[in-house]
Amino acid sequence: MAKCTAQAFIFSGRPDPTWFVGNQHSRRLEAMWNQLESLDTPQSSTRKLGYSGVSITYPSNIEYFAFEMYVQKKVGNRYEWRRDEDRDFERYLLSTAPQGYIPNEIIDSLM
Amino acid sequence: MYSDETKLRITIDIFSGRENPTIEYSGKHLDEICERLSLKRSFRTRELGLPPIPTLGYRGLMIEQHGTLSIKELPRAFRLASGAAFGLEMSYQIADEDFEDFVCGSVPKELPINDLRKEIAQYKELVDFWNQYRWRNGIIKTIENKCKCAPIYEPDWWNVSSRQGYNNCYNYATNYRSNTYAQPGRASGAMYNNLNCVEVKAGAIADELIDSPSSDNKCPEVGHLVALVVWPNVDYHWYRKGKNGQWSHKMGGTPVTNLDNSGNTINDPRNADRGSYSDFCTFMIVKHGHIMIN
Repeated sequence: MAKCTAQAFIFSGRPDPTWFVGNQHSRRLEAMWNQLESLDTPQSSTRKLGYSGVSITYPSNIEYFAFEMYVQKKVGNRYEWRRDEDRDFERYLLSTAPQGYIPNEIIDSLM
Repeated sequence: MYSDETKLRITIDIFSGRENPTIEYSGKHLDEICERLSLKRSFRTRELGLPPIPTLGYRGLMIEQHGTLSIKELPRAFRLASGAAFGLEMSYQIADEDFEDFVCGSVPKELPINDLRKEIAQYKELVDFWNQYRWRNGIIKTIENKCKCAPIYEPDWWNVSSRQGYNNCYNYATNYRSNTYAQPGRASGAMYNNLNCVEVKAGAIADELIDSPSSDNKCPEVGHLVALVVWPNVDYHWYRKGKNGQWSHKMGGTPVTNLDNSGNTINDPRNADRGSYSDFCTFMIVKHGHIMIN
């Protein structure tokens, strides 16, 4: 069965970390998305040096991107945004990364 | 009266593949030349000048002072065509509108005089044509490039799907599109093991970048300047200084930008907002054609 792939956008020189996300976690994330409040206005972030968000792509090519209190869902060319004020979605997705993939200071900054 | 230590080099800007021929004048010859090149009339802002795009064939004369003593009456360097001089923030009609024909008398033998005269005449026709039909923007004044040998800032070229995600900060800073997300030292089997200034710099040196810690943000005479910074034990990042003297960078597979983490343009990476990339390691020089990265 095809797996979900996550990527954290962190580095500049080294390749960004990517990892597979198991079914249990990917289903949990979809449930979390369903609980989030919808946002009417498009959200975006400017890439800076250092951590700039994390994404997960499902085998269906649905992609979620989480950063700074919002989560973006992309289906084909359609986008939807939801508020994630406590950054729970983002933090949970990052927690699925194997140990050592994400620098501790990034994890700590989201606590 | 000028001494032999006062020199003027005139380059006939005509060729594309071969080197352009040059003529040097010094000493007593300069009296007449300076008189011919002296200002007759300054151009007004709305007056038209040279065509905005280069052309094949004759494109005018490039005149530079390069002796130990200078000629105060003339700019250090300027371009001349069809009796008009264009330099840094200046443009004027010279006293001798036939100066180019005068220069024809001193050209090297490999450049037949009649051919050159014909080229000069054709170029004058082109200038007249542009002035009459095409160009409406006023005088194009020559702007001195701060870093003559550096690459231009062209984010659009890098920020396309076939290149953006496959080239990182190192690719961009060295202006070398390998599409391999290049790592310092990998091309020469000397890739870093630890993410610190010493090892990443060593990898870059193995790729033939030149360590230049005392560059102090100044453009090198040859090649262009880059800067290495490190997020200790985590990652590294590179910046490059462009032709206009400003710095730009590319964070991993993301688009090229000339802004730092605070949204400010980057005059000096040592002072830029670099987030967690706290260690400024060094400046290095990239000589085009010398490096190989992978």
